Amino acid sequence: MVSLTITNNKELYRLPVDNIVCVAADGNYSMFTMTDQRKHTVILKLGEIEEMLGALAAESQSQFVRVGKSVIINLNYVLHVAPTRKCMVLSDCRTFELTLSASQEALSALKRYLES
Amino acid sequence: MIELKDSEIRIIGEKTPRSATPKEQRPADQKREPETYKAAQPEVPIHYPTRRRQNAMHLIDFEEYPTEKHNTLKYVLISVTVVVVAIFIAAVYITRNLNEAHSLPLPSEHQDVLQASYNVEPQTSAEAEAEEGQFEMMEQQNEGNIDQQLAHINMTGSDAGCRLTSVSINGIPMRIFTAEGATPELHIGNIDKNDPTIILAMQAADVRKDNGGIVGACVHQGKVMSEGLSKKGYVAIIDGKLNIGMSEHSPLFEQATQTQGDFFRQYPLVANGQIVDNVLKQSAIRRAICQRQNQHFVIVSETPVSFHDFSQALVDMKVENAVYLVGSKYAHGFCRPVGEEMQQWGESYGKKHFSKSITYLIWRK
Repeated sequence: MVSLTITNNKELYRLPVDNIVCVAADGNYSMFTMTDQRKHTVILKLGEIEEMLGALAAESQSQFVRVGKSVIINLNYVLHVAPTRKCMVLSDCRTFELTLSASQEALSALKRYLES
Repeated sequence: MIELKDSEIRIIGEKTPRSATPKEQRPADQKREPETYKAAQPEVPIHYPTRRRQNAMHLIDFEEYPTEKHNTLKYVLISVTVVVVAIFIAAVYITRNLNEAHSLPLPSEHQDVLQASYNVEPQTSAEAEAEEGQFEMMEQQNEGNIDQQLAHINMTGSDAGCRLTSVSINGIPMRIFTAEGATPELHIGNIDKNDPTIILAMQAADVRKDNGGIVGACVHQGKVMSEGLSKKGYVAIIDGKLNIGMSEHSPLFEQATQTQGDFFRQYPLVANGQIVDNVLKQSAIRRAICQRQNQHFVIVSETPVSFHDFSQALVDMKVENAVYLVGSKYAHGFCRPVGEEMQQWGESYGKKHFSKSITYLIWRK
């Protein structure tokens, strides 16, 4: 199981990549949402998270997509993409369901990517 | 890594972002109606507030509340808050002023100022017409026969008591209080309104707001309570006889001290049948102790009037001398009309610190 290790002077996170549902940005912070619905906030910009996930892309079974500036999602959990309603639903169809908003253009691009 | 726009996505691991609209479709998009095309433009970046850091996922919903709308709402709320605070401060200020006016028996000129502000209460046109009509009726009934109206002032009854007469002079409705079978005296301090021997009581001298002392010279039962010449009118009670007039140096002051008499000063209104002009112009309920044909009585205007109008009405009543008494609707007093219940007006001062300086001109049977 591939894990994303995030550490600083005070603490260390070791997040199983396949269990990451999405990562939302908030300035210099990023918040991970896991499949067990727990949330973890780390002091990293979303771009840095993106690079770390990119480095693990070859080893992981999960594929991540950055949708706009604010969120990275795990494609394994995409249940519903509705560009006209500017929202998408992430779910494992068992334990959680998470609705996210994004721009219509970004969601259209995501929809087209998933279609292909 | 290339900076990503809100309208783009990027597959993690890839370097090139994917745009929503292929380039070949853009000319077709531009042919759309201007409004539709405008709707398809990239959205303005949304600035998420950092206070929502702990719930960053929720921030995404903020797209429904664009920053511009949020700011507008914020400005509206701030404006409303400022207006409400301003109204609250104004209400507190006005309430405080009213409380001060209620609590202190100000000198006459101050009460006049307050009275002028109180008398601007809104009055409906119907009330104004009714009031005006009522006064007109009184004028029709009473004007033109002042002597007849005042004739029974000189009447003396068998029972000691206060006789009330309503007259209208120059359109000013007034009440005349005539104490019969009673002796005037000056009373200092709170008065016992339940004392049945007192048939008429009117506040006499003004009280200083700064130190609670009596304004002008005052003698009570031969004892000098205060000195000063702030007002030229005087009222002296020597051997139970009332004397009123206008003089800067009245020998009655010394006489009062020698004969256990009373003396106080107030504004002169009428002297030897001539009007005395005073600087005060504001309208207020006016009271005066008057001398006419060797009779003394108290006159109270039932509506706010200026000093001049009040004095002129007294002159028209052929009053020979008149000295002001504490005016305004807050000045305390009471009377016991013959065969009727006691009537009281104004506010008594209870145990307030200046109550020891309150002076009353009373008639005791």
